Amino acid sequence: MTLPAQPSHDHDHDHDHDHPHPGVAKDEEPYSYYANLELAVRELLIEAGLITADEHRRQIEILDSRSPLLGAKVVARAWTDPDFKERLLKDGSAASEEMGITMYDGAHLIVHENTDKVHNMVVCTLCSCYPRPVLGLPPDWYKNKQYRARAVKEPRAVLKEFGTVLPDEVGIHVHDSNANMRYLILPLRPAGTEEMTEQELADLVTRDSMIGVTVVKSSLAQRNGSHV
Amino acid sequence: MDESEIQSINRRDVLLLAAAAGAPLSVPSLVLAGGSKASPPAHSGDPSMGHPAIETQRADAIPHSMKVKGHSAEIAIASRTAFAVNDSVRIKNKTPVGHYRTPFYVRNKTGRIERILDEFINPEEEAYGKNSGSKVRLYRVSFAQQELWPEYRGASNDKLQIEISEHWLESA
Repeated sequence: MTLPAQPSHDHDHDHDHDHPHPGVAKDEEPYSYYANLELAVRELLIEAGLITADEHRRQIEILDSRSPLLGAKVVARAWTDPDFKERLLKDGSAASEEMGITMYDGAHLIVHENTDKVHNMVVCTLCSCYPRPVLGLPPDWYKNKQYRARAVKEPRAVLKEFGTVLPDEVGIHVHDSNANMRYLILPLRPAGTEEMTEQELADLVTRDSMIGVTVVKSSLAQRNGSHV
Repeated sequence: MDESEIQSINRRDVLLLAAAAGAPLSVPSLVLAGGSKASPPAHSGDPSMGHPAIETQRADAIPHSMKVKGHSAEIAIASRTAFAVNDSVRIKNKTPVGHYRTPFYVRNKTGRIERILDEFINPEEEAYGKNSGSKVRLYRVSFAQQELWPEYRGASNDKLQIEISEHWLESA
């Protein structure tokens, strides 16, 4: 079996080791059953020549490189370019790739637009499906069973706990991301942002607004609350 | 990882995961309905699978053409769907054994087809190693929240949308 490469360790060890090394964490926790399982399957796949260790490493690197900044760029472009918005709502994957955001996992991205009449929010009741190519890894609360169970059943109560209170005239559309599609919410562009540049607009867009549990506020101060 | 750790791992888990990742391991082949027909996969022992609304292709079933991205080229796939946008559908009320992606809360509930999606490998078979071959049509189905939760407290225009495979749908 191929073991993960060990860090090089060729310096002398003639000093005492009764002091801690900040930033150097020891693997003290034993691997869990599933961590062992993953390692075993990965090693088998590499041994069988189906994947290489470098391909596996590269995929992790791509996964870790994604963040909500990408989704925010997509949103700001849609707010400022009506033709792009039309393409985005028609085919979220193709429009994102147009901006250089590859769907590395072959994700089929559907973008839902919030309007004066409809507010959209996303949940995966069965697990934690999430539009990783444009938002990165999901927040812990998104994977939490409470959120997954309650978002479909009492979305207005859940939204209220996120500080989002919407009038009854605004219909709440909950999207259960239970199978092959992935969902990104295009938030409502806040009033008073007409003069802003695309980059300034992107800076206003938060992760949670693209999951649909909050709305985008028109200034950073409003976004962070008054106790900055 | 040493051999004693390997042996503590459930051999079935390794086989399933390796098969799902494309490793050439021996897994039982699964019975599937053929190609572009709108009929559902054959599931023995489940009488609800044979519902005529799906088994018999609708006379007015629409040709559905969509593009699927390949690595370097786009290929057009012409297919047929058993349901059209706005059709009223009910989610079948069945409880198969194994892996499936139709949550309990939508079963036996009536909604309408909101959008026709692509065809995908049936997750009920993909979970057990089948990762190529014929596919099943996926739809987005929209429900009024009051239909799903009789005690729903919210606006009457609140909706829930979810992805449902064709073999879980019947005309309502």
